[in-house]
Amino acid sequence: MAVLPIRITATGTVEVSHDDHGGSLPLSSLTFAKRIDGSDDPRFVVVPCPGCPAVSTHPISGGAAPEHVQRLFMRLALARRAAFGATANAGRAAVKRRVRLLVGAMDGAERWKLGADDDDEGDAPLDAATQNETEA
Amino acid sequence: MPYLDDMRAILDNLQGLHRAVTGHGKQLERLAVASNANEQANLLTNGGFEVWQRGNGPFTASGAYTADRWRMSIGAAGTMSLTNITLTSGLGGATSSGPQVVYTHGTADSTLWQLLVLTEFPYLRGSTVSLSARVYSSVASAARLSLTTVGTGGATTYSAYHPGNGTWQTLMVSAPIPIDATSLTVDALRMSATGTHYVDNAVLVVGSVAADYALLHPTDDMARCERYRQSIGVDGGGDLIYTMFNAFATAQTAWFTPTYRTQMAITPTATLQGTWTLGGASALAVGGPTTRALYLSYTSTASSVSTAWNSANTANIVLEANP
Repeated sequence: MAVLPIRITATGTVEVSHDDHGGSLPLSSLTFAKRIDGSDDPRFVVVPCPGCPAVSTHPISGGAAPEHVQRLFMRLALARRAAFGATANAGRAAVKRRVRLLVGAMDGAERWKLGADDDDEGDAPLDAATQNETEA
Repeated sequence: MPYLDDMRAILDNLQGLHRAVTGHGKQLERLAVASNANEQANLLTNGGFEVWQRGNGPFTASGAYTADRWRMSIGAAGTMSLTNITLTSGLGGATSSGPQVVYTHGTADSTLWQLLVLTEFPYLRGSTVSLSARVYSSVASAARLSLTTVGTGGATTYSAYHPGNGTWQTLMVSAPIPIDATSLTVDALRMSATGTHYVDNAVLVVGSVAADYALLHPTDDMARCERYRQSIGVDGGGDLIYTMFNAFATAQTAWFTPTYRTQMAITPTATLQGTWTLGGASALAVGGPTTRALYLSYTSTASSVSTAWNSANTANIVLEANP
């Protein structure tokens, strides 16, 4: 099972879940995957498990957990605007549009899971999906 | 003229024979259509619950993936424990793998469900689909099927309840899919009362008539599942060896590109799991997984042969692409 980012606190701590254990990591410690020329590829984030040697590389479109991973990328993009091609003073909506474009480019526009009212910045729990997400 | 009469008689016989043959052909055609209707391709992945790549359980967390592509949701204040066991759900009591669900009802229904994102199945929009599944329960009004569509006029449609008589029953439900629908949620088991419930052999087909379950060849069953979850090697199987010969110095980067057996539905998450055996190497990492391949890299720590090997515990590369 993938190492999943299940909650991001307002103070920048990412709580992760992996199999029957989990832990937390500073958002600032997460790295992007490397391209063959050694540069960062901001379309992929590397999330290590604090409790075991497992390491997951998540695509910006979501991979194993689209809602959770896209929220993580939103937080990363807000914290590292330049990496995503946004200017330092780009507004939240502009950053969100850029992340959404990258998601669409990877797996199609319908892969986007975050709504206009999603609390991307707060510490709302990113719990495992429930029936509500598919019956809303 | 007697000769002409003979010819007419022969012609009549030939015409009669032609009508009989044509009629028989049409009968065969109708039989073929009926047969096809009954053997339509199952739109579900792992409808027989035969593939359990994540283990046999028990699974107890809401939102967990259980059998491949089947996810469980627990209603408020309820509990659920799902385990893969051998069931006698087949016709004549034939046995196969399937989920046993020990369930305590809270204040809302709980489900075992599979999501069909309609970008994968666009031709389903505007059509009617039918779901059937074999269900076992000893509690009346406790277990049934349902279909939920998201779109204009989308709704949840329910089958009748299992009668709770402690026998295997085939339950069925049909529902229209809105033309602008984005997804279809297939609840092969929707539970409304406490008990131990079982489900197997779920089939989803286009049309208003549910179809019987038809077993897939294991290769096809596995290939469908691997579109959403697959492992490159065997956990700790020692079957993945990535080697760089003749590193002329330390800190050289080696690159490898494992490819997948089955193209994935969407770009997957790639997990390097377990402890890999590294010889003259460090910083094993996965980069840039696509729907068909990924690249793996490590850095040499000696100016000699370097190796990464999944020889121990659960070392492997696992790919997950969940719609």
